[in-house]
Amino acid sequence: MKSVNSFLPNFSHLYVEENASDYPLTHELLKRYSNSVFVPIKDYKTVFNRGKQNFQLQKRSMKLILAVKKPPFIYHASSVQQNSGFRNHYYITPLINCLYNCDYCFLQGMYPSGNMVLFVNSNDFFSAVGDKIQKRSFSSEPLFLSVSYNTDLIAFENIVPLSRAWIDYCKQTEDLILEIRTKSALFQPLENITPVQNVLLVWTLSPQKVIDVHENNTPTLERRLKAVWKAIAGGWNVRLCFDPVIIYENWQRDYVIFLKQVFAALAADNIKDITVGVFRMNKGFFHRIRKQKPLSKIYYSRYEIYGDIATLPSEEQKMVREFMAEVLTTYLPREKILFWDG
Amino acid sequence: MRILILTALKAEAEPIINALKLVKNKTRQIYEKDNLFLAITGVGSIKAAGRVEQVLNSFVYLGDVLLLNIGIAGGPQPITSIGEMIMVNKIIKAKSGNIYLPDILIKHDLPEMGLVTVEDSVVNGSGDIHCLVDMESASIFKVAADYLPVHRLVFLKIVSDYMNCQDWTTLDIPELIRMNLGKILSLIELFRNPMLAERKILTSRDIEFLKRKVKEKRFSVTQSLKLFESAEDYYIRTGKQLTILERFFKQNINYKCERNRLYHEICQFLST
Repeated sequence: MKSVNSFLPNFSHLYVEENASDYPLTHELLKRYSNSVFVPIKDYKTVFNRGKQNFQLQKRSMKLILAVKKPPFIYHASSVQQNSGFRNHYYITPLINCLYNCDYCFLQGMYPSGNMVLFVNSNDFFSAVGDKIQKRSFSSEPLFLSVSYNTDLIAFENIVPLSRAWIDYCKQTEDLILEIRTKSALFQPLENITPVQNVLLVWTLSPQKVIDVHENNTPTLERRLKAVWKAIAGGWNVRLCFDPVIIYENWQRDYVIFLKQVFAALAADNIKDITVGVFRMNKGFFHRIRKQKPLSKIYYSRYEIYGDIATLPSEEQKMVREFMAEVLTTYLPREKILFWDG
Repeated sequence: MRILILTALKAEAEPIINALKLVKNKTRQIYEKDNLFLAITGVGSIKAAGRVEQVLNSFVYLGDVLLLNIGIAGGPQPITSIGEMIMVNKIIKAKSGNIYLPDILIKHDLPEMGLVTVEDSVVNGSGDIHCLVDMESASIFKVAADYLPVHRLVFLKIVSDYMNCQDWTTLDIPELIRMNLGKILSLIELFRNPMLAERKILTSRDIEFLKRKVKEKRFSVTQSLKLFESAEDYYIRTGKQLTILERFFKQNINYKCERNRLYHEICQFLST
């Protein structure tokens, strides 16, 4: 039987904050989505922070909210993020929420809404990052900036080329390392940019079985690998991210095959480094998601609480670390493999 | 899904009652049949708010209820036409300036527009008003949003006049509703989408069983909530019915400490 999608398409509605209406980006998007319903609002929070929203239902028909970000523009990274050894680790949120909908994603616990918010005042973000570079705590080290922490910026590139804008900014800025994390197969919009050495493109990869079950709306492993290959061939610094490693029956067998597939497609020597982690989440976010009774079984499993973090029991973390280290060291040296420490 | 239709006027309700063959439940003062319900709120914010609260309180469970407000409204000229049915995407209460936003997720083919809820009817033409005008929507939303999620609040308005109606008795309100009955019935079918309901993990039998036992053993509210959550986790992981807990509940409980011990024993069992 043919299934009928009874939900409105993504961006069927554009909510536009009063202050945002004069920005060029707003004009562009209103033109681009001229068939969508346009709803003017005073403050993006009146729609994004409404009570009693259902995050997962909204992911079936995401609305786009255009707003002007007010300070702070830049945040210190939390312990859940891997800092790769950089002490000046910060992140920004030019875009809130993601086109994808991964079961294990913390965004569904962090935000009350599954809708996307695009902040149209990009220049304010650039200025704030410039200031932070000047005032960074460890002046002998560069500022490590994650621009794709609460979203997938590259997946959004065909809608608004924010990755390109940040890469351009980084090209002209000293003491800055930019991390753009993605699951996208979309590399074509970045293909004609000359690689920038202080930009790190990070692809999160998972076995196809994990993608099928837990990484809703994301491209296949094969397509992601093609994009990574293009980035490496183009001369970009590429990090691979196997995070979270998901444990299920026979997961080790699948991960062995998966890693074989990855390193058959990509030359390990050309990869800057690899990060590995297990499922982990701020415990408040975890409980908020669990309360909504999500379909994913992830939220009905047993986790341990370490400080503010809900994660796998330490013996399971150890098992993943040892297993992944053993398999990965057959492809690349141990010092290129970074683990998230719970 | 159960659909609760609210209208302000009897004249708005009648064509719907007839088309859906709803029967009056005299105790609840609600017209109903199967999973369809209709209540008349009366005109104006105060009456509507009180009635909505009363009607929603009369439902034991609201996890599968969608509220559908249907009624006439003044429409701005020339962007609306008499008899046109419009889906409301933004409600402003004129008096307070408060804004309420329904979450429109389900595909529909109606035009959409904002609406202002006023205290007194507007009769001097739409002038600077570029949206619909009515007298109840804001208060219905405000009250109902305490009970229902925003994706289960739907407001449909049929343009009855251009805010220039001096004598309401001249309007053929039943006819305005009848003109749109086909669309209303199709929308009701769309909103019956079970995905819009709250997810139920435990079976009704398990819920009843656990509720009974929680009451019998006098578990605290916090213990009861935690027990239900642990029972859901257990059910998802194992697929087993909760009657497996029967043996725990055979214990006699005389003291609080015994109750707490029993609670911990059950939680431990459910988490293994």
